[in-house]
Parts: sequence; C-alpha cells; structure tokens
Amino acid sequence: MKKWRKAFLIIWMLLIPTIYFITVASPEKTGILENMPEFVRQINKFVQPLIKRDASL
Amino acid sequence: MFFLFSILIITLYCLACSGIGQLISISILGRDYNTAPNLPFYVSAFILGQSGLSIIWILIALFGGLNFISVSIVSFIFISLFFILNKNYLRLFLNFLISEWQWLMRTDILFRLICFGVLALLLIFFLSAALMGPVGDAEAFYMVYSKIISSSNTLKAMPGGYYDFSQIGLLGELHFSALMTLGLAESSKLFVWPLSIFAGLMLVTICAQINIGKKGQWIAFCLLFTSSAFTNHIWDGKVDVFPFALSLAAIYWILLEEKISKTRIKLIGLFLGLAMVSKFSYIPVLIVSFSLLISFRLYISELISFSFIKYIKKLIILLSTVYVWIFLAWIPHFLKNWILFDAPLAPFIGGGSFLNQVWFSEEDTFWIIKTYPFALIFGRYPMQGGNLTFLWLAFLPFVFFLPKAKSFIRSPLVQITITGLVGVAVWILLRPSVIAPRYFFISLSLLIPIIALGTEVIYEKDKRPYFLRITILITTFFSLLFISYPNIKNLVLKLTKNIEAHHECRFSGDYCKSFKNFNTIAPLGARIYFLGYYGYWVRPDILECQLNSSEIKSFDSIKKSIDKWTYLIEHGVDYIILDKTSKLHLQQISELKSRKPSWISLESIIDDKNLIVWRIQNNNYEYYPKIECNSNNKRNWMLKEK
Repeated sequence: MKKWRKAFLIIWMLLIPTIYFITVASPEKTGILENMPEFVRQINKFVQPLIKRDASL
Repeated sequence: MFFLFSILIITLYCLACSGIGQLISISILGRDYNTAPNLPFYVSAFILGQSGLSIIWILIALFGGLNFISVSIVSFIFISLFFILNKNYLRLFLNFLISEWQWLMRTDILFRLICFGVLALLLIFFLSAALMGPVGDAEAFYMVYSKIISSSNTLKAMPGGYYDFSQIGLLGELHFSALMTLGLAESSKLFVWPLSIFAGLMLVTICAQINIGKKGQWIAFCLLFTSSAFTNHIWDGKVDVFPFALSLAAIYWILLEEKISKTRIKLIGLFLGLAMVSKFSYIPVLIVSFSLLISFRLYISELISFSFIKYIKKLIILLSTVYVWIFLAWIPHFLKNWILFDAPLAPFIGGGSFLNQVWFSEEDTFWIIKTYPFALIFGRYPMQGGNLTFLWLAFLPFVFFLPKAKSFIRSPLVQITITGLVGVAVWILLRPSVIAPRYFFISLSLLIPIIALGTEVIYEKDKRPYFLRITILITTFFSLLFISYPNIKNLVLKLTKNIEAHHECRFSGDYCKSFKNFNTIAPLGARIYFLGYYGYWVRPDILECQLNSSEIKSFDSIKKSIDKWTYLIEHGVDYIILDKTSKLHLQQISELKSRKPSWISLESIIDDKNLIVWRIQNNNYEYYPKIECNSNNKRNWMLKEK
C-alpha cells in the first residue's frame, strides 16, 4: 500500500472518534451520554457552536 | 444472593427457550434437520424458542393464568425437553468455547487486546442489565406493562395513558412478566443480555457463511456491540433486541445453502413474521429488503439453466410460502388484540393512531436526510435512542481495498449489503423524519460484514501493517471506552454513593425512591391521576387503578375547571402525581390548580426533586366518589361503580 494511502487511513481512523467525542459524547443532552466528564462540556462549549446545527427542536 | 438467584433463573429460562426452539425447528425442518449445522442451529433455536415461549405466555395470560405455578410447570417441561434432545449439547458448547479460547491465545497480542476489550464490555452490559433499574421508555411503558401483567396474572389492556400502546406485539414484554412471576422484578430484563449475545453469534455465523475469517468475525461482533442503538437496549428494559435477533436468524437460514428448500422457507417466514410482531417498524423494511434477498438467492440457484418464466413461478411460490408463515406468526397477536380490543388488526385497523409519527418539521427532516449516514453515527436528535458505531465510518475506507469479487451478483456479501442498503432506503422513504437507528437496525447491521471483511483484509494482508494495526487498535479502544464509560460511571457512582444502603433503589433512577415513598403512604386500591410518564416503581395495584385512558380523554375534553375537579372527585381519584421534569404536565397542573374551587384542598405529601404528590381532600359532600377500585384477591384490580 502506498504511503499516502496509509497516512490517509490513519488520519481518517483517528478523525472519526475525535468528531464523535466532540459531537456526541457531550453532557448537554439527556440520555446515557450525559454522564461524560465535565471537561467534555468545557470543550464542547467552544467547539459545538462551530459545527453543530441545533437539533433540539 | 438475589444476584445469583437472578442468574440461575435466567439460565434455566434460557434452557427452556432452547428446548421449545429446538422442538419447533425440528418440527418444521423435518428431514432437513439432519443437514443443519450444529452451533448455529442451537443459536437459531434459542432465538426462535424465546418467541415460542412468549406466545405461550400470551395465551396463558389472556385467560388470567400467568402465575408462578404455570410459568414453573411450562418452563420445567421445556427444560426437560432440552436435556432429552441434547445429551451432547454441553460438550458441543464447551468445544466451541475451548476452540475460540485456543484461537484467541494464538492470535497476535494487539488483536487479543481488542477481543478482551469486547468481552469486558459484555461484562459491563451484564452488570447493568442485572443491577440497574429500567430506564426511559422501559420505565414508562415496557416494564410497567410487564409488571401489571405479572401482578394481575392477566394480559389486559394497559391502564393509564398508554392504553393504545398495548396494541403492539408483546413478544418481549411477556418474558419480563413471566420472569417477574418467578420473583425476578426488574432484573428480569437480564434475559435480553443472553439474547443479545445470541444475536451477536448469529451475526458472526452470517460472517462465517460469507467467508469472513475469524478476525473479521470478531470485528463484526465488536462493531455490533459498540453501536449504542443496539447496546442501549441490552440493559434498559426495552425490547428492540428481540426483532433484531429474529431477523438475523432469518438471514442465516436464507444464506445457509444456495437453494432455499421448501422446509427452510417456512422457518424463514416464521422468523420474519415474529420479528415484525416484535417491532412494527421492521415490517416495511423486512418485507421489501428480504423479499429482494430471497429473489436474489433464487436467481443464483437457477442461474445454470435459467428460464425467466420458471424463475417467476418459483419466486411466487417461495414468497407466498414466506407470507403464509409470516401470517401464521401473527395469529397470536391478532387473537390478543381481538380479545382485548375487539380489533384483531389493531393498531393498523381499528386501533390507536400512534403509528403515523412525524418527529420533525419538513426543513429539519430534509436536513436529516441530507446528512445520512453521518446522522446515524453522530446524530443526537431527541428520541434517537442510540447510534450506529463510529467504527463503521472509521473503517469504511477499507472497503475500497477489498479484492474484487469474481461475480458481484453471486457474492453473498454483495447480496446482504444491497439488502441492508435497500432496507435503509425504504426506511428513509417511508419515515424520513423518524431518525432512530433502532427501528431498522437489522438493515444497518447488514452493512457491518463488508466493513468487517475490509478491516480484516487490511489487518492481515498488508505487508507492513504496524501503524495501521496500532491505529485500528486505538480507534477500537476509543469506541469501547465511549460506549462503556456511561455504564461504568453509573454503576460505580451508584455503588459508591450508596455503599451503606441496601435498599432496592441503589442502582435505579431518581423516580425509584420517590415512588417507593409514595407506595408506603397510599392505601391499597388508591386511584391516582398521573401527570408523568415513568411509573415503573408505583405499586401494581395503584398502577392498575390509575385513571384509565377513556377517563383521561373525558377529563381532557371537559372545559370548565370546576367540572374537571368534580370529575376527579366522582371518579374516586385520591392523589395527583406530577412529574416535575415534564413541561407539558407542569403546564396542565398549573392551569388546573389556578382554578381550583374552594371546597377542594390539596395536601402536598411528597415534594422532592422529581415528583410532587398531592392528596385531594373534598370538603363538599354534594360531590362524592361514584367509582372505586377494588379486588377480591388483592390481584386484578377493577373499577366498580359504588
């Protein structure tokens, strides 16, 4: 496998959990994920408005 | 001690499920039985048997006989049958475990870490299912209904606001009821845990059928158990795992051999029918996508001497047989709704209107559709109830590195992937605003094997896979961490917080304590007007005696406030219970309270974080209760006019 392909796969694989961590594993909403640690809330306060559409409806 | 008792009862109950499952499978398969492979057959038999047992409970409960004695006798018969049919079963199962363990010990250390991570995850779900109380919808409906059925020994329409919902298929709920009669209470939901393992094994078997290796099978298992749309319902007390397991078993039988035999097609129909009864949302998805898969399989088996007319004729016969057996699987459900609601086809015809749900506005729905598949993985919409694992997306690029299949149409992997995609498309077309992966999880799970194979190929075949392997390991561990963290935190926090306490609310939500407190105050047969959803912890007699659906409708249709209060008094309502977290109900009660007549006084007897309970006191003797709730045997509470 070519190196750039490997690099792409590695970056992609690490990117997905990072996005998940920021967008889903957030304590603002109800459900089991509300139990995430406090520092997630702090990260999300900054990051979420940049990427998240309000789906609280 | 109770923990061990629960495990023992669940184990014996699983043996009973296997016993009846094998009996049904052998009866249907007849001569084909000898050709059935061993372990997958037992897994499939268990999945079928649990539905068979549930149907027996429905029939018994309809006549008011679901009690400790009947459940024990029926279970004992099928446990005995299991031991008669399977003298070699234990050895087979042990052989399977030993060979898996030996393989695990021989594989590379990195992959072994993933496997042990998955096994640890299963242990966490086991503890959550066994120790924690029901959560969410299960605390509001599924386990509440089971509790009422078990305490009254009778299957009747659900009292209270969920009357219409009791028209659904009850193949999961009746297990909880039966186990409750054996003394298990909320730990009865532990039964879903072995079922989820069997569903996982079925997925693994399907992967093996399509020539995915051991590592790929483990990866598929990992992808399944890191999908919160699946795992949330292993321990919360809901029943979404039941239709999923049944549909997977149908896939197994479809893929077993290239040509689907006349006997196997009956079994496939039965599995599909039972899956549809267990969860109505599976109906459109299964009918369209599985008909397509069956026609695919028939096409391949006919390919050598293909004749279009012959093919169509055979397809019609095959699909007709499937639909006949689907219909047979529905008969107990029709019977139940005929007896309880005088509407056998309810809720589709003559029933409640809860099926046509629209969750979001047109604009938001359009946004959701545009963002598929990301909405399934990263979505956090209200009522979504879990996601597809992010590993699916993380490992998706591996699919492009798969060697090309010799013939796309002949490849079972391509067939099930197309089946999955069609299922998702059907759901998006029919219910675009209902973004809930659990409602069509069978279609999503069919997209797992291709990812598992891709990951296996990359993991095994690349020449210098060190960095890729490490990254696969890291990503997988992130997924295991994210999925298990809330459960671990919940369990550990509740355990450390209540280390001294031995009360039954130790691992349960906040409603438990509030309602347990109320239960000690309210007399037997007390009537409540419940402004809330989560009533699992209310005493069964109070649940049965609460203001019923028609009373609530009449009450809501009254316009004058004074007439509303008179209505409550005349219907013998003793308490109003308000769930503080429900905005809708808060609004209702504030309107009602603001126009309270002077002859009514409300005494607040409980006021905590979640609930307010008022005792209604009537000081006007002109109005008096004309209806009361009573029972001859402290079970089966009924409303009677005074």
